Amino acid sequence: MALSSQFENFRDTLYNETRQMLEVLDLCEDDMGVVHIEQVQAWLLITHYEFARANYRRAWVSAGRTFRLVQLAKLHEVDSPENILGNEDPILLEEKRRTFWVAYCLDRFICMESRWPLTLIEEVVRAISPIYHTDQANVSLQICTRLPSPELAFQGGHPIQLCFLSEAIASNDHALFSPLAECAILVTICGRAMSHSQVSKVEKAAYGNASLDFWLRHEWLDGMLNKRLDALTVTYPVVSAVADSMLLFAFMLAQTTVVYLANIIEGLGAGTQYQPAVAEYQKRAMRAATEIARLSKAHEQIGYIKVSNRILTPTAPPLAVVQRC
Amino acid sequence: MYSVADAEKAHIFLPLTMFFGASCLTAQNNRTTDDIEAITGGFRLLESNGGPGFGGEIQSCLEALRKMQSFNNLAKDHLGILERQDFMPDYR
Repeated sequence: MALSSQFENFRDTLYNETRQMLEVLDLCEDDMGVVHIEQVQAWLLITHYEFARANYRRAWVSAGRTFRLVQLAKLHEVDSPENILGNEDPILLEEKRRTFWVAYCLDRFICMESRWPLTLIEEVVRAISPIYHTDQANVSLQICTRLPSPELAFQGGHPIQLCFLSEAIASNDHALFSPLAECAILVTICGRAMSHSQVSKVEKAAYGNASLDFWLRHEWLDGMLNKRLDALTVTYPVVSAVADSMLLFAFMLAQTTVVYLANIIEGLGAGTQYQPAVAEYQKRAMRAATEIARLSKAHEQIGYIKVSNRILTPTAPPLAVVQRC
Repeated sequence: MYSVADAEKAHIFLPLTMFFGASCLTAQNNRTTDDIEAITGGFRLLESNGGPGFGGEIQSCLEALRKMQSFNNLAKDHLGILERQDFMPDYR
């Protein structure tokens, strides 16, 4: 709301008041176990607002605070077996999932921007009880929050339970996901590509050339990315992608990852034996960058007379809800 | 064809994707034949539909960023980097 052009005059007031209320909440609460979902959502909104309107440093610090609250609220294990009691409101559960995935994506976008390390990592080591923390059987190694439900089902009050991220990544079919879930999967691939890039630099320093592991990782990422791109292209015609902001972003994120993968190879300075592969990745990067330019042009031609941006947070709480916390 | 409401929903990190696209095309435009030979061993890369170079495509990204910069600082920051005379895409 504070980002919409019609509320421009109230923008700073809304932002400052919300931030003050959140600061007061932080001062009052001393119980490590209690985090209201609205509090996390409000911090997410504040962070997005600061990226758009304030300075980067402030936004980044707020993002860190948001991620800690996400961890404190255990939003990464909403669907873990011991949390499923059967009596929790399915809407509230889905709201928690969506809040987690918005934060998860934000973490990776910041990492892409700044090349700083991730906070909400994929490998979550979680002991069921502190006294069992040495028992391997009780440790989960993945995010235990299902991917977000399709938007219409959520808005209609009947969210659909999707699979876990790890299942979506491991699956070989071209399953259809909601745009937010598609973004979470794509940004995961991009996050893994960033990690792959870091590892390859270390390997290059140690061995002086690309290892066999490098190409295995690279081809796996490329295969995964192509699978998602195929699914997106078949399922959604480009026009509808432009009409739907999240889909447009998913398309552009996928193309960005294609460019990123080509950059990794070029940055490696691979030897002559790899030149055909490098040429192929470069060709695809050019095609992807051209597609980004085409989508940018389509986006730019949308009327901007009254335009402002609104963050992509499907769980945005009204101020009254924040005040209740 | 598209409503104002559609544009209002623009993802806040959309400028990042435009930056990546424009950087990639700029890098290609700046490459000499020798550079391409060194990277790809002479394999032919893609060329723009609009003739030599990717100037038109780069401009599309820059224009979109220019329009977004009034309400998105990330667009402003990325545009500032791309418009620097000495801008050189960094892959390392």
